[in-house]
Amino acid sequence: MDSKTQLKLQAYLDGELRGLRAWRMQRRLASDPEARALVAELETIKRVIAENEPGHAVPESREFYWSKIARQLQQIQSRLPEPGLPARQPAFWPRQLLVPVLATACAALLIGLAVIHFTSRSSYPIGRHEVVVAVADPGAVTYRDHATGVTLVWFSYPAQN
Amino acid sequence: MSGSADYSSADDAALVRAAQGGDTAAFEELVARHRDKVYSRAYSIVRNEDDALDLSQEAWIHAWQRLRQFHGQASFATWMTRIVINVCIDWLRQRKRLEAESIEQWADELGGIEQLMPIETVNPTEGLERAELRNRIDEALGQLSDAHRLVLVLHEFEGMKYRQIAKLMGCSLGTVMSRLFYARRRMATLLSSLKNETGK
Amino acid sequence: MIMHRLTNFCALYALLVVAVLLAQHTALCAQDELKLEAQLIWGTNEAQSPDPNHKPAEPDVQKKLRSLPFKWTNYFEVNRVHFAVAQGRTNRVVMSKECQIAVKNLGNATVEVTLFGKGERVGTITQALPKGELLVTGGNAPNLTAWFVVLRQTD
Repeated sequence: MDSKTQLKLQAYLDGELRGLRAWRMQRRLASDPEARALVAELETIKRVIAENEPGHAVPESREFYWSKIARQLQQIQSRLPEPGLPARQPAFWPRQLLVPVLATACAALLIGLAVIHFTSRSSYPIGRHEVVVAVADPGAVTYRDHATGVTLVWFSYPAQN
Repeated sequence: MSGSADYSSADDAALVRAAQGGDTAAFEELVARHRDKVYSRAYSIVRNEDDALDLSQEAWIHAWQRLRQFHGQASFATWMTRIVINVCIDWLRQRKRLEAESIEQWADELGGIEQLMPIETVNPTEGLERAELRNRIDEALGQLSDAHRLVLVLHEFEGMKYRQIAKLMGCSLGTVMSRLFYARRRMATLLSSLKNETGK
Repeated sequence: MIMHRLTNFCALYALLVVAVLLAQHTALCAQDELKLEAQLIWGTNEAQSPDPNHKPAEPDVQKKLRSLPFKWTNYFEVNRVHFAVAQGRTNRVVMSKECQIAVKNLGNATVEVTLFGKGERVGTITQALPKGELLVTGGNAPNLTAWFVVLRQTD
């Protein structure tokens, strides 16, 4: 039995198949003892694991565990601005300068953004979680090697009809 | 609400409302009620006590900061579990522990070259007491890779669908299916060999 | 009076900058395309390829393919094609008489690649492809060998 069929049988067991695909697997199970044995094993393990999840209790007292959280919450709250205080006003702010200064600031900002945008145009913005892994067809397996900058997508089945 | 005695008898919804208003005592009660489940989920993913403690506490901080976004669309426990799962996955990604696969695991995912695991026809857990069974499952889970264990945890314990898992893990549907298949078969083999070792 | 002139000058200056940037952006959008190179590679444990037209894959590609967890030791370049795809467009490229790829430029250095083997669709991948990165698609070939299509950006 090839790996594609094995995965389809698993998907059938997990209720991920619908319609014709589910029917095909039902037929396969009815006629193939190897398929039945595989599904029986998967079903047993699935049930046993799901019904017997190991539990782990926090190995610290309630107070100690909370104290660390409380400390961080205090730090967060101390960074927030106090409510009720009026915003500071500049000592001197002539209205006549407001429009030209704003216009110049906008122009400078646009130039800056344009420089960033056009110079980085050909590169992909690397976010916090780096390059997005390939989105591939079901049945394909993806592998990513960050060190060499290689994304591999392996098709484990021949071309479909 | 006033006094911790009130909090211990309040339901989660009332505690959440109070905490959303800034009541840290109400939040502490929520932490006390759900800390074991949150910690246990973190431990099941990262398999290290100290890391699980840190990550579970980080999850509680995230929850405090996002409490206003919780509108009761799911239970508070479910919402918290999702937060700790995301925190753990971010942590694993930063340490590249979801990408680095051993050659043997990769070969198995590819449908495999020489190493075909024989089908286990006998239930390897039959006759075991519940506590012993859970211990063995725990031990076997510890022997999986992070990526395989994560897929198993998300599917079997959290009841997620393939697509949800693929989105969360940032991988393809095929990868989720392969990893789940390998993880289940590996668990069957591990539980069977544990049974043979102890003669039970 | 002086302030009034200064105000007018700054406003006009800002408008001029915006106009220039918009014009440049429009021109660049029209030309925004990805220059790509696709290599069809054959992976094997044989020291030589039976086809004399095949040559060993370039050292950089060999090194990267060998860093992947495969058992094949030798990689031969079957074909190499340079092509460009404008943003939003799809370019179909013939790699061999049995292998073709269709590459769509989704913008932001992201491509959607569909592989065709013997005229049939094998699969589709969507992947960001910054310069310096490789997108490698592969599958089994007869006699325990493998095929790969290696895609990367070029200058």
